[in-house]
Amino acid sequence: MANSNHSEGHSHVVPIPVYTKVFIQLLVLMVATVAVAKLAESNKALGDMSYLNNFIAMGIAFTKALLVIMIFMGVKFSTKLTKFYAFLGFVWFSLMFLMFMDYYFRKDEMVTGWSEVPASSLSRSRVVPGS
Amino acid sequence: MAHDAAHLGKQQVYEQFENIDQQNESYLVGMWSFLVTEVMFFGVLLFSYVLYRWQYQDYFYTIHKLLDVNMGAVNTVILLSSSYSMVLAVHFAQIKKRSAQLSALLFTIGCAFGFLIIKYFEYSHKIHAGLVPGPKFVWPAVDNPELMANVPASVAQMFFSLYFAMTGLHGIHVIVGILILGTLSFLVWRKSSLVEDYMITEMIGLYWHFVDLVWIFLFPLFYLMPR
Repeated sequence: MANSNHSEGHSHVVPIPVYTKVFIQLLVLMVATVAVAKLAESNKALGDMSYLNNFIAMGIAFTKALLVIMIFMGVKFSTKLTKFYAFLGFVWFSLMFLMFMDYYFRKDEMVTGWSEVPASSLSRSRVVPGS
Repeated sequence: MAHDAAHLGKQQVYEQFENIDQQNESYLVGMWSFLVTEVMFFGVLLFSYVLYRWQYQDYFYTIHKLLDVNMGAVNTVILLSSSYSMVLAVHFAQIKKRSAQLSALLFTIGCAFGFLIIKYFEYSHKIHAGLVPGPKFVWPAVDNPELMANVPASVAQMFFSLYFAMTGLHGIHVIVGILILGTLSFLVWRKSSLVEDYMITEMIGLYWHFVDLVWIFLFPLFYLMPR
């Protein structure tokens, strides 16, 4: 049940021009990423260098994401606790990513199981009947 | 960058909170916790994508030519515009301009429908071309059979499984967003006391920006794939 206490908030109202500026930046970045991809696709001279397109495309995607998170989602203007929670998502995701990548890169490594231990090393621990 | 310390109007402080700042922070932390689970949700799909693209780089590059970059780009612009209108809705909710808030919300819903309509055209083309993974999968694709002839059908099925799973899950989030935004718009239109507190609009805004964020990554990963 709510009490009758009312209070003034202390949050910031971000001026509209700030949002407009970010929106224009997002659109410019979007055009840039498509332009780079099409240039790399059409220009055969860039053929061998087109792996750069990967870094450019993902770099622009991360920049766009950062703009949306910091300004549109208001993380820049929020409290430290909120910033921590916002950051937590990427920590969990990175952890999961690193652990699975580690597994997939090493999944073909030969693991020395108990059955592959040389018999000589087993002789000390194994009691052979009748010996 | 100057920001006004605003008068945000009266907000009701519920008895479990000490003051309005603590209450607002609790709302935000709760919403971000939910978004963290969403990051993990999409994260596993993203991870699957990375693994298979790593394994079949050339094949994935060839198959991605079946996707329409222009449609993906238009959808990106639509979602970015919807994010912009959503922050405006939050802004107007903060300064208690109800009619402007309602207009911004309706524009956001319009963008969401626009996104789904373009997705519908994309999906229907893929469905008619037999590119839905399963027993009726048609390969090499009818759109470019010469180019696709070298790509094994199993890899193509994997590509389109990931494509439909990731963009489909994102599409479901867009539909959920429309339902939530529609309800919010209705309540704002009816001048309901439930939405007097701007934080409700802010929470829904966070969800909508997250939907935009996911697309920001899906677009280059599927449509702008380099060699």
